[in-house]
Amino acid sequence: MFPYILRRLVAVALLVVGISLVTFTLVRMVPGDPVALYYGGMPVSADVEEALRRQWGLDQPLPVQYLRYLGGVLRGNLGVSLASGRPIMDDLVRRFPATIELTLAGVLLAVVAGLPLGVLAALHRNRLTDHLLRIGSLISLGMPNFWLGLVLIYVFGFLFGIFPPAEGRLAAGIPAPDRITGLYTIDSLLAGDLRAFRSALAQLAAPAITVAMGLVAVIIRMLRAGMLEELGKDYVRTGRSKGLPNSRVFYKHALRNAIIPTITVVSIQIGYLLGGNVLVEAVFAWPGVGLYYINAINALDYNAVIGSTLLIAVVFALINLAVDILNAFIDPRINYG
Amino acid sequence: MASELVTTLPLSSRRRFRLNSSLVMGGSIVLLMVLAAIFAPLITPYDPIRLSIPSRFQPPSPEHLFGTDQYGRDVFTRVLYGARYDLLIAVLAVALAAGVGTPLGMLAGYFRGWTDTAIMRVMDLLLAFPNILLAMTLAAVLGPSLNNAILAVAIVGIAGYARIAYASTMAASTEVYVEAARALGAPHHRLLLRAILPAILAPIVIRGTLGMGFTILLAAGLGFIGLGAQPPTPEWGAMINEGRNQVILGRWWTSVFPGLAIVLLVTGFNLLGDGLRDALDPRTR
Repeated sequence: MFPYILRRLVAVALLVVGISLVTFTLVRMVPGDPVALYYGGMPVSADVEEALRRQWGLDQPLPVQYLRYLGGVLRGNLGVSLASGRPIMDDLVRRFPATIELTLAGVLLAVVAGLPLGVLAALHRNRLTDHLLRIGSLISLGMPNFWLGLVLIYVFGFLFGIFPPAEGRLAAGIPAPDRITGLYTIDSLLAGDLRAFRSALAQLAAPAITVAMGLVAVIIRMLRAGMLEELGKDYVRTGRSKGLPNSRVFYKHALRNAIIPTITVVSIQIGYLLGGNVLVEAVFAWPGVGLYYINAINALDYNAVIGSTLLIAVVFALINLAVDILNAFIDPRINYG
Repeated sequence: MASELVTTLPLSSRRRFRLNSSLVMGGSIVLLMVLAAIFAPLITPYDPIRLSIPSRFQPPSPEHLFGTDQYGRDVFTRVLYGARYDLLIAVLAVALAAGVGTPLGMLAGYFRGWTDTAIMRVMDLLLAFPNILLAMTLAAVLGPSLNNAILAVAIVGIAGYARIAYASTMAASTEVYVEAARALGAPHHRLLLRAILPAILAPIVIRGTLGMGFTILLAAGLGFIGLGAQPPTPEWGAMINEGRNQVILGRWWTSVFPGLAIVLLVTGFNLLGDGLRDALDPRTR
């Protein structure tokens, strides 16, 4: 197995280099001259301009510029945000826990809802429950998540007043709990601060439901298909013919096998959601990496836009790597030769 | 989820092509939207762009089925005209992505060797970014406009078509009739265009149909962030964005109806794609 893991590690390292090549190209594509941009269009003397160019290495040939860029990336230097004036890496690290909290909450909700529904759909194949679930998941796959977020804000925030206004991770006036994990729901519990915990949970609910909705449909579809495939196999017939109760065949045998591909897809989705939730974060003013990215787009802060893109892609690649390695441990059928 | 199809069943095998309910329903929805887009001026008496401040913020009523927005424009009218933009974006972006991705995948799968490595590693690189993120970053760097949004969404889509074309081409290359044509001395371009292309068209068409829905969602997301169609263009994502601050004040209709139009059209394409797959792919029988 270790040669396999080693190969995957090398592949990911190459991928990260490739990602940096793409983002470097994007940096070069940014409209306008970076020096002029830096001075906000103010006229500067040729000497000052020349000095800045040299300082930024813009007078070097492109391959040299790229190597300098790559060197910076590998040391965690993504440049400085024009909007905040701080290193982009610092900004992103500070905001990552919010995104992780939202993603984990969304995935947890989706799994809790999706698993029983997927099994239900398979057990009630071609009956009313199955049809309703199929129509439901079909429609939810067609929903833009930012729109769903707005609908939730209207229905549960405006009409019923269940959800608090979307103003971040805690209601105004409630201080953030001491940072332990960076996840407010957990940190507030650890600190024994129930008021902050309730507020954090209430703020998290609507965006997490929005994130979960897109994933539930995927889980239901995958699990239904997986269960039906497993239920048609020989070992299920064997189990039944030797007199095992149906429930045991379903849950002890078929579900165990059917769930493996679903787990893989859900884990990959975690990586995907870390970057794909930008629109949900924007709708709910959720102060994570996605909102930072959107704000950077609106502020024409290209360094921050491209820096966020790079970091998210690298995290995405690392999570995919982790999923592959975990799978190799879980599923002995995977060939790591 | 769209599974990656590897089949070599030609599109023209009508004998095996059977209508199914997904196909009919999806087709009807898409047709309805196309008709709405074409005949929008005949269906509604209002103008999608012109402001009419006195009639702003009217809730849905018989005169204004979907109400009016903050500029007094009829939301139903804008949703109808919006179908033109969202359909156009989807068709152009998918055509561009498939038009570039399919040949690339075919070349990689046919010549193998370094051609394969060079092309497919670049495709892997495209897939290394979460697609909405790549689309938004590209659109931001290119500059916000409808054309650039289409280009960004198309670039994001290329790798998917390349992968399917690649796998299908490799599968088709081992077919006996391709071997036979090769043995007869057919040149590469004839093998690729006459023998392999017809055989791999079905999975590409299925992917393209499912890709339409996905593309519409992506483009609407760009419009929502302000990176796609610019106001006052009645593109659905941009409309949802324009109505965004009204929703919190209880004026739900300005954002909800364009969103419903997206749900309907995307669901239509997804049904159509699923139906096509069931009709064309022998494995799912």
